[in-house]
Amino acid sequence: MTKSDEVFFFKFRDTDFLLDSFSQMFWFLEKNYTISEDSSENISSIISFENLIKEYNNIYHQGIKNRIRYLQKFNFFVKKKQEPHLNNNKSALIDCIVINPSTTCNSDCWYCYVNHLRKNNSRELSTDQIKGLIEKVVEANIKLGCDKQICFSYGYTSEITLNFDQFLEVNTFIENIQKEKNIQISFFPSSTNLLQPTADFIDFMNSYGYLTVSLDYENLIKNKKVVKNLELLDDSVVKHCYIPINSETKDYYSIYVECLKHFDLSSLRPVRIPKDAKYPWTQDNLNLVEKELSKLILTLLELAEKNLLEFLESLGSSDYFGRYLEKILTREKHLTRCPAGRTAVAIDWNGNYYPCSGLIGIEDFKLGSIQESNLENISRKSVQENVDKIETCSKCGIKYYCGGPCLDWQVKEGGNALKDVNSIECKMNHIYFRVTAYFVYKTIENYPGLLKKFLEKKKKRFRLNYALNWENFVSFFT
Amino acid sequence: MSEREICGDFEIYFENDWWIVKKISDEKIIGRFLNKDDALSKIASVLQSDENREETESVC
Repeated sequence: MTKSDEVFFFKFRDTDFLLDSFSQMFWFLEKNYTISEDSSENISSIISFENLIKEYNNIYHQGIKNRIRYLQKFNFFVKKKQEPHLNNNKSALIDCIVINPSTTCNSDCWYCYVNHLRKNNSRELSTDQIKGLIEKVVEANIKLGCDKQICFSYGYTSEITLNFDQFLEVNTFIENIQKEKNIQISFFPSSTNLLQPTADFIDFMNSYGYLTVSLDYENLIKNKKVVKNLELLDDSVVKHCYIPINSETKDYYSIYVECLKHFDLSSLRPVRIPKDAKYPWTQDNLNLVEKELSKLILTLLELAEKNLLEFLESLGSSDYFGRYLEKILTREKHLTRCPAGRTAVAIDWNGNYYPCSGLIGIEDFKLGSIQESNLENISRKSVQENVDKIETCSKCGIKYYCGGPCLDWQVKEGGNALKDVNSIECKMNHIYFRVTAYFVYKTIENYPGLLKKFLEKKKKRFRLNYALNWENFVSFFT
Repeated sequence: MSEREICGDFEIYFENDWWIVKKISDEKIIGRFLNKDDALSKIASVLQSDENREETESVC
């Protein structure tokens, strides 16, 4: 078995799993193969099967090992050559730009990533500068024959409702360019705190049809105002709430349920915050995340089929559990974490380019500026590497689910985003993977067609279309 | 025809001297093979294929 490092083992509750990291296929093991209670207490992560054997070698593991060897004849658990079209391209054209014209906000959220930059900042990007930037991006894409849609989004470092006139002016400008150049351009508004929505904002959202509200769940006073302001919107508008969760957040299911009283979709997501934040992540409190996430999935597993499907369909696009659920069901391969710095950049109120809005103000990540450089030739020094090329990640069982480190989170943890990858964020991802994999296994056991139906409604391909039971899978191939 | 063997969405059976590999969900025959190992290899290859598995350019 030494020819492969693609065999991983993980455990959740009373169930052991095997994972083929390359194909992203996983199987649950029969009880017979479960290692003893004593020895399994220390296994709270995803470890290579080779390491498990070294530590807990017994007759059961030898049996699994022999079966793995057999399946390797069919190329399971064997690293294959990456198909060329999956290789990362550092020179890919930038076609997604987040425009952050100001830092103006009417709130002071503990998780805001520009609070420290907001103080004493009076700079703003003018509408003319934004229009000039958009023209340049569009021209560059046309010149290079790019037929993909170009995406602009607006206002991630400020409260969009306070600067909505500018958004509308830019929106009209983009609509005109679209007609003139006959190309596809999207322009997305950022999330809002919905504390002071203007009439223009409400009108726009009623026609746009999709609103994301960023909500500090603990701040109930603000939330009452938000709930009241939601009434200003038409029923036809899809209302999505985004809730950053921290180490103190408890009872995730109740939060979802409460949000869904007012919203159509909800997203809970561990927030990327520095060590000196109000509720910092630590190695110790990650256990609480696992406990809370476990509570959530155990509650979900008790729901009736119809209610469970409804719940899953109410997960918003940023929901971390929902994302892992989709990743596990689709077996989509993520070779990089996100497009930051590769095909996407953020621009700040000074006209500087950064890989993403969370990295604004950090000199090492500055890629250039609209005054100095064209978008085609900005520096790509901090573009994320292909996950296979990052030493620590290359040996990780869930590398293709995660795609590598989030630059923003690594920096906030105080590490070197491009080198040190053994972080709280990694452990968080391992927790989400293990717990979600268990949820998937149990749900398929309880309601066989539910997850396929859930995914196909999203027009995604269900790829757990094999026997998840290890014994059955092996028997089929023998 | 031999007894059908099923692995999730895939089944194989022996019919008229051929091992048939079928995808159950869409009733599509994805291959006919002279020996069983080749039929199983086909299923293994379909399951492990990278085709259309590339990442979507999702934002954070």
